[in-house]
Amino acid sequence: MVKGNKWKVCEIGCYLLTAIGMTLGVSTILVYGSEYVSGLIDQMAQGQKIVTHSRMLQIGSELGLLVLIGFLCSFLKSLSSGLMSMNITIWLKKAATAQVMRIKESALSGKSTGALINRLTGDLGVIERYLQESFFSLLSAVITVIVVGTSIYRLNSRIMFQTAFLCMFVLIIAFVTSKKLSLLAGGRRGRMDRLLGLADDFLRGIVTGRSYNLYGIMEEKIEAAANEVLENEYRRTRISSHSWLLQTVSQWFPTFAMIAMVSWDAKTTHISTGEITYVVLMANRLLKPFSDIPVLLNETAEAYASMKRIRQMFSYEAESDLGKGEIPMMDSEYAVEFDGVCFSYGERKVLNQTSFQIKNRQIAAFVGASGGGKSTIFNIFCGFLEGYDGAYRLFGKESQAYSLSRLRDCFSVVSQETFLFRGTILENIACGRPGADMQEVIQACKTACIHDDIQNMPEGYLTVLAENGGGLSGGEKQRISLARALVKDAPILLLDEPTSALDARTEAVISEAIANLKGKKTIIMIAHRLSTVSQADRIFVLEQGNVAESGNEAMLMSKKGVYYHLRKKEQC
Amino acid sequence: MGKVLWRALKWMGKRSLWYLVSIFAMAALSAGLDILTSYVVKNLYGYMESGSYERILGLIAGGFLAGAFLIGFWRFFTIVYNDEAKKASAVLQKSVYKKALRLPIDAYQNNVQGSFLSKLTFNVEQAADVYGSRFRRVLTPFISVAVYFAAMAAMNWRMAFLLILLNCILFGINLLMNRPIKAVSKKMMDFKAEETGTFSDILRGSKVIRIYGLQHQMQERYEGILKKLCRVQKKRTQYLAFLESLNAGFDLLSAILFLAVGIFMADLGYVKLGELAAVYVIYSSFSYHFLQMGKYVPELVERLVYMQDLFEFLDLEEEPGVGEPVCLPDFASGQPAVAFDNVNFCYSDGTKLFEDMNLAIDNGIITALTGRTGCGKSTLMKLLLGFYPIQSGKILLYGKDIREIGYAAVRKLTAYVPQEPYLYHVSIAENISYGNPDAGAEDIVSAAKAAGAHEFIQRQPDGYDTILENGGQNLSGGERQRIAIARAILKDAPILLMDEATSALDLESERIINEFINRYRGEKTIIIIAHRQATIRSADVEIQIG
Repeated sequence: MVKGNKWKVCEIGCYLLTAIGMTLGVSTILVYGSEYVSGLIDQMAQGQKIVTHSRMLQIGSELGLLVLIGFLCSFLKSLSSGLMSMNITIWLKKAATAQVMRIKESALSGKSTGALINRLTGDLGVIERYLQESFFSLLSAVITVIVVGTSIYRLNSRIMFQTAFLCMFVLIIAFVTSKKLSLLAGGRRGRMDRLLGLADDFLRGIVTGRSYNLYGIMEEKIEAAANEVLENEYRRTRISSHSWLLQTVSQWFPTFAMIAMVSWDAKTTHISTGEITYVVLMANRLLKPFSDIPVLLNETAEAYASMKRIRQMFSYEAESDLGKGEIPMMDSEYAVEFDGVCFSYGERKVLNQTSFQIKNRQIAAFVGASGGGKSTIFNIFCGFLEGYDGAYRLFGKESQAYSLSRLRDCFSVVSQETFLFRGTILENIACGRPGADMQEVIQACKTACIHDDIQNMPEGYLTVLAENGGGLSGGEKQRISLARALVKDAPILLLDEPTSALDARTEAVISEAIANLKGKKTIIMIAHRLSTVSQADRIFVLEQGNVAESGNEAMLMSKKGVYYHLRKKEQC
Repeated sequence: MGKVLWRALKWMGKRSLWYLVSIFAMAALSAGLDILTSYVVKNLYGYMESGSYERILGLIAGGFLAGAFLIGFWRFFTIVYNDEAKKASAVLQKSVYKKALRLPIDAYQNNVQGSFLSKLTFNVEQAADVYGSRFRRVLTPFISVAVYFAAMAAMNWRMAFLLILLNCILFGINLLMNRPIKAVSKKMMDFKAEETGTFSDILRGSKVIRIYGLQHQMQERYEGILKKLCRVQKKRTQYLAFLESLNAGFDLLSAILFLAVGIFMADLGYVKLGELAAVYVIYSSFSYHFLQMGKYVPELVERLVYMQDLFEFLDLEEEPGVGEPVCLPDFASGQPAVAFDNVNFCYSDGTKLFEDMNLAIDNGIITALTGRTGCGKSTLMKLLLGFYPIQSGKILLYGKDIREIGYAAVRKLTAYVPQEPYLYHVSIAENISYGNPDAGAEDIVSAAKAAGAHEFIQRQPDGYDTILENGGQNLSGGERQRIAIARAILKDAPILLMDEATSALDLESERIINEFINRYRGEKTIIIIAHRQATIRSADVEIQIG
């Protein structure tokens, strides 16, 4: 699945083998120790004196050695299992992040990005927890059962077969109860929601309720709903109690039965005290893993499902950076041209024979109702969407002529949703262009009117931002975003609804910045608020994926067409 | 926290006894099963030694029987425990919700309704865990250890003490290792938070990353954090491995040591082999519970904090008289229906609204309150209804101070139709019936007819039984207003307070309001906050506020 470092695979393999080996070691030592002790007991029962100096010393040192080896095995087992799970998880995460930054935007855009992130993080978390805990528990359980079972078999095969039945018994009960209990856990929400809904209704209408003295009625209804919930809980308790009963029985009965069977054997075939002691020692160790196995298998299934989903993400197509490696001509007449572009999201036609031309170093604006295709156009500009019909030309050449990175080098973007990462403000702005120095950053910040605000912060440019720029207001984030775009100094500046949710100051700033850049860069805006676009040299009115009107403000207003009506509606 | 726990238990009343007994019983009976096994083992060895093999069958049969009994009782007490726990949680939730409906009205103004309730519900769910499991989990190990110890000591006190000694050492080691593990765990969690944060940064910002060509940079950054996390996690793994193997090794050591010493003592005659084996059967359960003593206390404390919040909430001051039966006192005749006597009122932020205000409204007339927005017309009505406390002065209803006769009585005598009346998530008929819950169906219909609501109600899919969702969003503003008026009509109160909405009503509804006012002219005292000229003109008296 993932092209990995050969050494890494070896390292992980080593850890796994060590863990397995050490688990085997621990179980073996346990068995050996218990056999040793039961041997001692037999000797005692036969009348041999144990309490002699030499004997005690020998026993002490032999047992001591056993314990030491056991300790070492256990330590190595825990260590190697921990390291293995850590390494695998890190490997997965590195690969996942690299992949996410590579896959085509179209693969991500279909689903809501938020849901995707949650799922991905959730799945990786499931796998991490599984590897840390459940995987090795399952391994231990299986190995313990095999080792202890074998030792009992060697001791007395008949006992082993009898115990096998008990083991199956425990296993089956564990399967049945775990399934039942998890089903039950799902069913409680319904009635709770009703009680909650009632309380919510009453709280919303508290003024009316108080003025009509409705407290008595409200109290009765809440009482009734709460009692319903309680009755339901009583019922659930009774149903669950059967499973709890089975669980308790399965914890006690098999051990007891095993000892009983062995005692019965003592009556008939006179097995030795040592053997009995051995069974007493080992009974629980053999049976307990069986009750854990269903839960562990369940968790394995969940981890497997998570793995499958992650693998699916790796199968998404990556963006290809192929292209003929052409260089954009900065002095061509037109910066951007669309010629008969059609694009659909699934069934929905978003762009329908859209055609326009934006002159180099002009200010252009796209307006129109939402869903009319404005964001799609921007996505096509930056090479995020493919599969469109028609031609898209950038600086005179077909977009496919450029490599993806060259294409994107031509654009700076300030979008509605700002994205700032964890790091200092300086880092966030300077990343606009690798190698940007402090002077450029300060200059850009001055143009974006954020410089003074940053200076006023206690740590200034070195202020560390929290998740997505938490702690800053929307306007401040937007202006930092603008500064970053200015640092990049790309020939085309894309502004996607830059002033929609902001304070008047930021709106003024952005308008001023646009005015300052007039004639130096190509500026393309999407705007809902038509007051923003009045500075544009050319306004394109999009309606149902088509350029309905185009021209400058004065022209369009005099036409008294779509633009005129949009403007009028906004003013009301 | 102890006080909170005590209060939480007292909250259960007499049932707390059953609750505690069942916790004790569950732990003791569970332990009892192991003790039963060990008892059987002890006697088994005894019979084998003495050669009385024929008694073994009886022993086994008796063991099974006793086990069945113990399990049966255990099940009984488990059900009792769960029932009591669920009941206590239910009572807590009921009380909290009911309390939430009895607070003084100004407590509701600051709360965004949704979050107020969800915070309460969340707190209740967390606190309920105290009853459900947290308290029991803290007590159970102590009880189990005590029961096991008693049984073992009864069998052979030397062995019992040896066991305690070994476990205390193990407990001590665990305690010692706790601090460094906690420290390194905390560090790891901080790094983990940074790692998950950076990871989600990359996912959410993939577009921006691509446009600015930041892939390489972000990947490096992420790998840097992973490296740091790795280092700390490795250390933690080492500590944990050490502790785990110590526990396991000690487990092995104790088992073997225990047996070795036991055999030694058996050989010397201090202990019988059977007793040794018997104590060993209990050994692992005993160790398990021993190590858990105190382990669950932090979790309990965590939930008790929520419980404390809830108790503080339940101790909040309520509006006096909510939910109590209303008794209307006798009224002196000849008094104006409503009077404000030197009333001083400021808003909660300190802005003065009324200063030494005096106002009198006579019986049986229609009064229009006018004035520009924000001058306090709506607030005046709310003060009359006793929704907010006044700083000084008196508000009189038929000559009596409203605080004397009680707010409930005031509200019985008034029917209030606010600008945005609230319609509950029940049927239309029930919504109207809230005016007078004892009214019959015919009265409801005639009230609806009087309010001009009957026709459109009949057009609804289920007529009067149509359930109104979302405050009646599927009806028009005017229709909602008319249902509210029907409710007020049904109440048949002597004083009607109406806050005329400026734009919610259509012309038709406006006509109905005026009809309504005219119908009761002379019969009832009507105070209406008026915006329309027509309404003001149809009133007998106009009072301008401001």
